[in-house]
Amino acid sequence: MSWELQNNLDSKKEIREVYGNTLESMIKEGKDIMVCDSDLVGSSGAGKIFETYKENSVNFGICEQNMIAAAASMSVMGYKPFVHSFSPFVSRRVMDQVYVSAGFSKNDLHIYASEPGFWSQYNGATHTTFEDFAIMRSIPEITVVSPSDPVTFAWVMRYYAEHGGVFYNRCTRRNIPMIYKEGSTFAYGKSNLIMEGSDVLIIAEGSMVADALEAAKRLKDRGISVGVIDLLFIKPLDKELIDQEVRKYKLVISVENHNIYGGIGEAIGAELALQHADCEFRRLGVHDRYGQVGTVDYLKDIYQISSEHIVKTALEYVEHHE
Amino acid sequence: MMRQVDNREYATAIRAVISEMFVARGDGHIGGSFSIADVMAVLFNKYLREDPKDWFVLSKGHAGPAYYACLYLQKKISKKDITTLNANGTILPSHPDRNLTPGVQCSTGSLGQGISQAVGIAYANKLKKTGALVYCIVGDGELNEGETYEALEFASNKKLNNLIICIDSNKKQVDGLIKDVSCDYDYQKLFEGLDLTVHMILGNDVEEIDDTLSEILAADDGNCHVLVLNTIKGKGISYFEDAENCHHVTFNETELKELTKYRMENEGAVKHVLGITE
Ligand SMILES: Cc1ncc(C[n+]2csc(CCOP(=O)(O)OP(=O)(O)O)c2C)c(N)n1
Repeated sequence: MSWELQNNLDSKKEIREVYGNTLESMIKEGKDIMVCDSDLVGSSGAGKIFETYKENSVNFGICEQNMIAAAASMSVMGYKPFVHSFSPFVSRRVMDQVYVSAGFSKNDLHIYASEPGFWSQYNGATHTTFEDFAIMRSIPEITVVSPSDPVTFAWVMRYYAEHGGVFYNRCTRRNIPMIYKEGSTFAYGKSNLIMEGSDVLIIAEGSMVADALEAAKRLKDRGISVGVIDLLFIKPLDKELIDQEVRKYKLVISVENHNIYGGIGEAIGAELALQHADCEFRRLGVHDRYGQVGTVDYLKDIYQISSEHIVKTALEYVEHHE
Repeated sequence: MMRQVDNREYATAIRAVISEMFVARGDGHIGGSFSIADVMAVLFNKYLREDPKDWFVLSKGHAGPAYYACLYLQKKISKKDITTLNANGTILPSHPDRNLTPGVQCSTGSLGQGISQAVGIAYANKLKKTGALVYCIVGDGELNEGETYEALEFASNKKLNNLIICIDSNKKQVDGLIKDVSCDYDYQKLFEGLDLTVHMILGNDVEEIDDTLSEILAADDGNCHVLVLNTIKGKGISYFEDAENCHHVTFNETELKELTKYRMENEGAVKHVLGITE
C-alpha cells in the first residue's frame, strides 16, 4: 500500500472514462475479462469495449436478474465478469441472484453499481439507492467498496481482476475530484487516514470524502483540528484503523450517501461500542427517506449530508463543550 | 359521456405540452414519450372514466412527460408545473410518483414492475366487482424483464378481462434495436402462447387504436387483451423520428428549435383541448 494525496480537489476525472479505460487495458494485458451490461452500455463508459472487443463483452438486454446469475456463472470457465447497471438494478432488484449465484456459489463477480444515492439526480426514487450498503453488507463474504475517487475506483477493479471474489463497487459515473495521485496503491480491507488531527474525526465513504475534506478545511479555519478517514472498504470494515484512530479524538462523525439504517454509521457505531471507545459519535446520513429528483447539491442539502452539515455538526459539539 | 375532442388533435396537444416541458428542462426521454402520445390521447380523451374509476399504469415510467401532458390537459396539474420537470422540488419527476403528482395512479420507473402493479389492481377490481378497467402501457425493451412474463401469466391464469395491455413496439431500447440488443420477438406467437388475445395494430394511428379498443370492450369476451402498437420512436417530429436513437436526449440548439417550433405551431391544439377558445 502506497498512496499519495493529490491535494487539489479541482483536478478531476470522469469515472465512466476510467471504467472503460481500465477494462480496455486489462483486456489488452490478456486478462480473461467479460464485460456485461443490461442495456446501459452507453451510460457505463464501456461502450468502446462492446464495439471493439466482442469476445470480451455481452449485452444482456434489460434483464438484470439474468445478467447477475449468468455473468457470475461464466466465472466457472475462468472469466472475470464485470457487470454494470444503475445501482438499484444491480442491488435491490437482484439480491437473491447475488446471494445464490455469486456469493453462495463462490463465483467471481464485479458489480459496478453506478449513480448511487443522490447521484441518481433527475431519475428520482426508483433509481436512487440509500439501502444498497445494507443489502450487500448482509450477504456473507461479499466485499463492499465505495471509492472516493477515480484512482481508488480503478484500483478496486484491478484488485478484483487479480484476486476474484464478489465485489460490490458503488460509485458515480461523473467527473469527481482526484483524492489520490495517479499510481497510488491501496490494500484490501484497509481504510485510508488522509488527514490527521486531534479534535474531530470525520469518517466518510465515496464521494462524501471530498465533502469531508472541504468541511475539514473550514473547521481548521475556526481553529478546530480535524482528521479524515476515507473508508473505501464498507465491508470488511477496517476495525484496526478505526479502533486506533478514534482514541485520539473527542468527536467522531460518520458521513454517508445512504440511509442511516444499515449504513456505515451503524457499522462504525457498533465498532465504537464494542471497543468501549471514549468519544462522542454523530452519524450523518439519510434519515429513512426515499429518493427524489434534483441536483446533487440540492439533494445533499435536503438530506442534510453536505459539507455544511458536517461543519454544523462539529461546531455544535465544540460549542457545547467549550 | 366525457367531453371529447378529436383524438388526433389531442395527440398533437400532448406532444406540444411535452415539447414545452423538454424545452424548459433541456433534456428528456423524448423517444418513448412521443411514440405513445397517440395511445395516450385515445385513452385520456375517450376511455379512462372517473366513475367507475378506471386505472392507468405507465409501466414504462420513463415516459412520464407524456403522462404529465395528459394530466395537464385534464387540468389536474397546472400550467406553471409544466416548466418544472425534474427541477429541484418539482411535482413532476422523470418517473411517475403516485404520492407526489395529482392524478398519477401508480409509481413506476423500475422497468417490469408497472405491469405487475396493473395485474394486481385488475385482479382486486375484478374480485370487488367494481366494473373498473385497467390500461397498462409497457415498453418493448421493458419486455426483456422476466417480471413482465410473470405478470402476463397471472393475467392469463386469472382471466383478467378488465385489463388491456398496450405494448409500445417502437423497436428501440437504450443500446440500439430490440432485435439486436435482446431478441426478435414474434409477439403474435408469444402472447398467444400465453393464451392472451393479441391485436397487432398501427400504434401511431388514433383511429385504429380507438376502433380496436371499442371492439374489445363491445365483445367483452372474458379474455385479457394485448395490443401490440407498431410505433415510431420520437413520432411527431421528423428530426427525432429519423435519429438513430432518441431515447434520452440532452437537447442541442437545433433540437431545442425543433421542439419550440412544434410547440408554437400546435399551441392551438393545446388551447382547444383545454377548452380555451380565442
Ligand atoms: C429495472 C430497470 N432497468 C433499467 C432501467 C433503465 N432504463 C430506462 S428506459 C430503458 C430502456 C427501455 O426501453 P423501452 O421499454 O423500449 O422504452 P422506449 O423505447 O419505449 O422508451 C432502460 C434500460 C430501468 N429504468 N429499470
